Formats: sequence, C-alpha cells, structure tokens
Amino acid sequence: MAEVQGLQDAVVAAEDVLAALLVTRRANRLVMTKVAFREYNEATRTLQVDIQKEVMNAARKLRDHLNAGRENVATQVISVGTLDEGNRITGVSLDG
Amino acid sequence: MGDVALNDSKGRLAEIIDDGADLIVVPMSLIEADATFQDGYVSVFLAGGGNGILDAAGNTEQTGSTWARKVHTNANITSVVDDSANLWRIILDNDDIWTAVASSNDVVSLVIAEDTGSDATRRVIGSWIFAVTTDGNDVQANYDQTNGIWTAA
Repeated sequence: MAEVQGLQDAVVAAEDVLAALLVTRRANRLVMTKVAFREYNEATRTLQVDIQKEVMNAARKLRDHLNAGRENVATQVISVGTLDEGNRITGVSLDG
Repeated sequence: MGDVALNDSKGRLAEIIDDGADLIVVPMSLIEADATFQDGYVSVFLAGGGNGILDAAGNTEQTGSTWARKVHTNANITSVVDDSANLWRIILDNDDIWTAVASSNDVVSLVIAEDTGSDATRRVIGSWIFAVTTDGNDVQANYDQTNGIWTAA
C-alpha cells in the first residue's frame, strides 16, 4: 500500500507542477503581446515537454503497478481520426 | 455522428497554435448531431451564460470514474506543413490514457478546445468520434502521429 501511495503522490506532484505551469502560461498570455508570448513559448518549449513527460511517466508507473495486481487487463486503444477542416456536413445552418 | 469542426473555428486553429496556445481534451458522454453541433450555438466557447457548448442539453461532459480533461501544452503539439499533400496539420504528440475506467461510464466523443483557464474563454475547435464502452480496463486515445487530428488546405 505504501508503494501505491508513493506512486499516487508522484502523480499528484507531477500534475501540480503541470497545473502551476498552466497558470503561469495563462497569466503570461493575458498580459504579454502576441510576439512576446510567442518568444516566451519558444523559450519554454523544453520545460513544457519535460513537465508533460513527467506527468505521463508518473501516470504510467502507477497504472503499471496497479495493473500488475489486476487480471486480464486489456487497454482499450481507440484511434482518434483526422478532421479535415474543409469537410462539409449536410444539414441546415441555423445562422444562415 | 462524425468528426466535426465548429464552423466558427475553421481557419483559426493555425493561428491559435502558432500563437502558442495549449489545447484541452474533454471526454463527452453525449454529443449533438453533427449538423447541430457545427453551427448551432450562440457561443463558440465551452460554457458560459447558458450559451456554450456544454450548456446545450444535447452535450454532456463525462466526469464519471477516472475520466478527466487532459491538457496538451503547446510544445507537445506539432504544427506542420505537409508539402507532399499540400496540407497543414496539427498533431497531438502524446496519447491520453485514462486508467481503470469503471463500467457504465461510456463516452461517445472527445471535444477539443483551446485551453485558456476558463470554460467561458475556451474556444471549441471540434468533436472527434471516440466511442468507448467502459469495462474497468484502461482507455487510451491514440492520436495519429502522421496525419494528426486536423488538416487544412
């Protein structure tokens, strides 16, 4: 149980770091010019990737640990399609 | 039901991503018919003032069991011109995984929006088919790493 708790804590900690990053990014986006935010975004690309990777890794470790104790675990992998912006759907437009 | 873009958001995703925005993925247990979804709302945002996408009776976010929204930060989104097909593509670099989703928490689609911190300003891009009958196992959204989630000519 202690091991599970530790892994859960690691997930929460990683998600907290991501949440803090998002708060900072959103705050900066509100006050920065478009050009300044683009530069800030470029300057923090590695940080963003590292933080998102850490969230995924922590979640995977917890999942793998939990799955080791579950029988017949089978992840449902569902492919998400590619949406073509030019697609037209037959229907009645409500706004003409 | 198909993959359907909000008409108001067509042509905007390129600018949104190139300006450094993040995207948020919202699991949905109920989604309206394509023709209604694509242009049937007063607001193009997730929620607010009773006019947003989630405010409509025909759209319901799935929050049961371990379902949760997933944020993809800008650096984890590839925005690329595909010269071979004369297309521009948006690719989500990382799959999303929901662990041990209990039965009777089904989803039918994923709505993807620009992430701004508030549903009142989260601009919805579209809805992607994601039909899952949950059974206690993990669920993984597998994003196409070649064609992406979005193309524009």
